[in-house]
Amino acid sequence: MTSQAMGHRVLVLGAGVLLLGSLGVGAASATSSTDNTCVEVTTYDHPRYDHPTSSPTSSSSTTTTTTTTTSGGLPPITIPGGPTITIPSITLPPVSAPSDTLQDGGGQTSSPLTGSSPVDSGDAGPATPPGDSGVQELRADDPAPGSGDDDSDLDEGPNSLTTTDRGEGYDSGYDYDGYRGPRGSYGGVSCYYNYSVGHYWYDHRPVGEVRATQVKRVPSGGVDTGN
Amino acid sequence: MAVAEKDPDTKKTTGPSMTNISIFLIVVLVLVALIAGANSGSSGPNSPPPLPASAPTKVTVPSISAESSLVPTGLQADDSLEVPPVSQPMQASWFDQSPTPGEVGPSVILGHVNGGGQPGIFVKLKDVVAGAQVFVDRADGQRAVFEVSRVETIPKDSFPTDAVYNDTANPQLRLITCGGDYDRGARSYLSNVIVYADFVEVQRV
Repeated sequence: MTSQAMGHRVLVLGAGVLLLGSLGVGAASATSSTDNTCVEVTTYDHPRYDHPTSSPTSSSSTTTTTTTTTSGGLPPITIPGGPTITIPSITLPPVSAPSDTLQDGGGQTSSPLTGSSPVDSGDAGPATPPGDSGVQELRADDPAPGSGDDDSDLDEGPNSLTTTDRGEGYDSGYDYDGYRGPRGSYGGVSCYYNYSVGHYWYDHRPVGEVRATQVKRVPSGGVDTGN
Repeated sequence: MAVAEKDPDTKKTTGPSMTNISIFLIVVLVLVALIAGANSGSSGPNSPPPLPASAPTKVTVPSISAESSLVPTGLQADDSLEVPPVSQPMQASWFDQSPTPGEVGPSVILGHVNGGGQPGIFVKLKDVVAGAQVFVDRADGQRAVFEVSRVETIPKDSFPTDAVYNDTANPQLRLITCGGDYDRGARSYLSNVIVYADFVEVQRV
């Protein structure tokens, strides 16, 4: 087998590996909030997103998003004995709700198990995402860590809106930050993560480690409704 | 032999073709995975927008033929939930420190399982199953429709305070009554039946 043929096989194998990895990302983003360990504590639109009155337009082809896409290009693939292949960034076509456009651009896309947050190896202390000074302080009106300012596909420019622009600061991509996985030695689960799709953001935290603020006063104990 | 004399350029033309195919495959698969992940995520975007605050006026659980007006109740001196008078077991109440039904957060509605020797409004609450609908009429003329996600019977001494009262991403509803074994000495049930429901629709009353 020539080195070039071997290189082609390696490339095809790489495609398969990427397939499995990317499917893993998809599955991770679909993590439900209905399990007994993690609870989806906040969901919010981008504050400047202007909801359309009819079905959302399927285009978000602003200069900003295009520029962002190029910054998120895939690293070149080097095949032993073969040519170096540079894969350009991928621009995904627009999709309907919940997000208007999915792009692989500025947003980080990573598996929860390989997230950038430290893994809590102890039994007592919860894992804390970087930059998060206190998990229990995260509230619906607090932007999630990494959810905005450091996302390069935010249109922060002074330009006025176009017919397809969702507003300056509109996050058109997918992002993920946090950790969900085994915790300590007793089988608990850490689930400190948040992700976004389009203009929606989802924050997840473990049940029992989230304060109740929507209920103004939390009762103590059970309810006595029978005798 | 002619067979042995292959055109040396043949492989050169095959290589780029396979490379392009591989790149195309990668792009398509990543695209499919991302779209699948986006569409199978939380139900947040598929739920109706949350409603503004408006006092609830009536609760209806068609699957158990329960229907009652709602009165606001708060907390007792010991911080336990106040409940409707036991002399009116068919009266349900809304915990007025919780969001109104349709607002973001867990709205809490209480009802007796029995009282004064008579069955209460939620005597059959334990028979509610996932997928059942619960209607809550509001003072603003809107009806918040909820769909039951799960039903639990939990001992009162391990009441799931977090699951019931913690913040939620969307409007949710909790229906709570007594259940489980009955302690005749304490004249009290030992457990609570808790119905968790998600906001799925808005109707005009």
